[in-house]
Amino acid sequence: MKTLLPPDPFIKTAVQDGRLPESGTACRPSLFALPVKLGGSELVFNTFTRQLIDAEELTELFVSPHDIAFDEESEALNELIKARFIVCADADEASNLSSALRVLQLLGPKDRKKHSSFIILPTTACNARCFYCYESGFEHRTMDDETVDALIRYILETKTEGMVNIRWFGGEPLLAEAVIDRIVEKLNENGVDFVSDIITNASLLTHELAEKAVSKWRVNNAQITFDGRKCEHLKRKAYVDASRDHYTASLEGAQALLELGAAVSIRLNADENNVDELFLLVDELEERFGGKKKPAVYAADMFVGCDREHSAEADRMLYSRLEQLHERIHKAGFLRGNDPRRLRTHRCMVDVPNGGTVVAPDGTLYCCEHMSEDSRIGTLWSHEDEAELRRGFIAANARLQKRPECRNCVYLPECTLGAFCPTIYRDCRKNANLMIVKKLLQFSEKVL
Amino acid sequence: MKLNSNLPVVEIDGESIMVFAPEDDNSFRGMLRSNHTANFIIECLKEETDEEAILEKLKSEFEGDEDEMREDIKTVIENLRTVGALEE
Repeated sequence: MKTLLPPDPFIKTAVQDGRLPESGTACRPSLFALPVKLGGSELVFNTFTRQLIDAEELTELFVSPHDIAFDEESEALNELIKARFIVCADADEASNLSSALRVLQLLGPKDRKKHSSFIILPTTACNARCFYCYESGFEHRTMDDETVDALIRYILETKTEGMVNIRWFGGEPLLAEAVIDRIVEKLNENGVDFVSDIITNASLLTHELAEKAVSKWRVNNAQITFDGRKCEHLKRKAYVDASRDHYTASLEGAQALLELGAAVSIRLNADENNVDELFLLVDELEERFGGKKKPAVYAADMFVGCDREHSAEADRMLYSRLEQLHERIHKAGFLRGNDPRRLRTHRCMVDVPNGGTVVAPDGTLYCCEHMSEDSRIGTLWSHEDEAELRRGFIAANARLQKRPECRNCVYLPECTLGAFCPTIYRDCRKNANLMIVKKLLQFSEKVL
Repeated sequence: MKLNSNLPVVEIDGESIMVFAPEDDNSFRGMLRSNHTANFIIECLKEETDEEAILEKLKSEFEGDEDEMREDIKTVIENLRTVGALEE
């Protein structure tokens, strides 16, 4: 066995080496041993311990899993059992994972019931009409002055000590520039130390506005979505004002932010009809951003969270193309993302200690950015039960993970309480695999 | 005496792990792993008990020297007491 990425040291505090059984004991590949192809090599990634290995002569055992009798003379088997890539046939790995997560959560950062981040929707209005937008049924509202004042009081009352993170979200937040100006002004007046990021289509992001965003709003990161090259992008975004070239404006906005020192993350929204087009978009992005200041680029299945009729064949084709697309993005030097070497002990913004809260333009508070009705935890004016409602939401969603089909899932350590919930995501396994391979791709040159 | 009922105890690979994660910043924060014998003693401590009662249960379950068993019980209890895991 050759280790290419070591296990997460934090996990090792709770989980010791696997115990060697008696010779002859029936063993099997771990539930969490995921065979992955990286740079043409067949490797094995442990989704629980986060160790990436070349199993060498035992690789086939993971590709076509079967039971194997433990032989104490086999050095290779000894190593794989200690590293938890092979376990006793009767091991209850789902329970071990659940217990280890509990230990790591308890020993991790304490939850002070305060917020270190705030997701603020200055408006739900938008200048685009994307056919896939999950907010399409939302009423268009913009935050008024009274709500801004209540928001500032809420932040002062509930924020953790030190710097907090503000995320400008919408709608299209740049439609409410004046609201953001006012919030920032009040944060400064009250001595709140903050940085911010923004989720925007960037079509309104002139160089002048980008300068203000970076210098005044302290934006250090922007996420901008593209659906294809100009024609496909504009067709899918269906901007209300069709007379403007929103596509070029968005690219120029992204470039302005990069030049001003902010990070830019470009999300490519893919479905089976535009995935080929996205390869051409990467060519175009490479031409435009091929220099020193590069955005991060990643692709995602745009309908992954939707309950939509979809053939298995279309799915297989889409995910296969998305894997190839990530390889293309990686080749262009754009692929960056979360570190695969760390297990997420908290699953999403809802259960992370001192995590974020979402503030809608009317002052409603949500614990989840998808703003479903069951994630509502109060208003800016009445939020006494916030912690309890948040716990209730977690408990309700945590139950979803106890489905029998989840118990034997190799991606269980990747699973989240809500955002990647198997009952929401039409094919959570394909999506989880795509995300793992994407994360590992970043390390392929270093480890192979 | 009895094991603190608020103390989370989890099991990994059949091994009990007690987790100490107090609200205040000054108390012990960490975890306590236990071997087979200590596991048994901790199981006994989940109900109100004393050293003699634990010794009797240990003798009925394991073979061995009584003095050594008594010493094991004292050590486990002392360790648990040090980290505030016992209600007395």
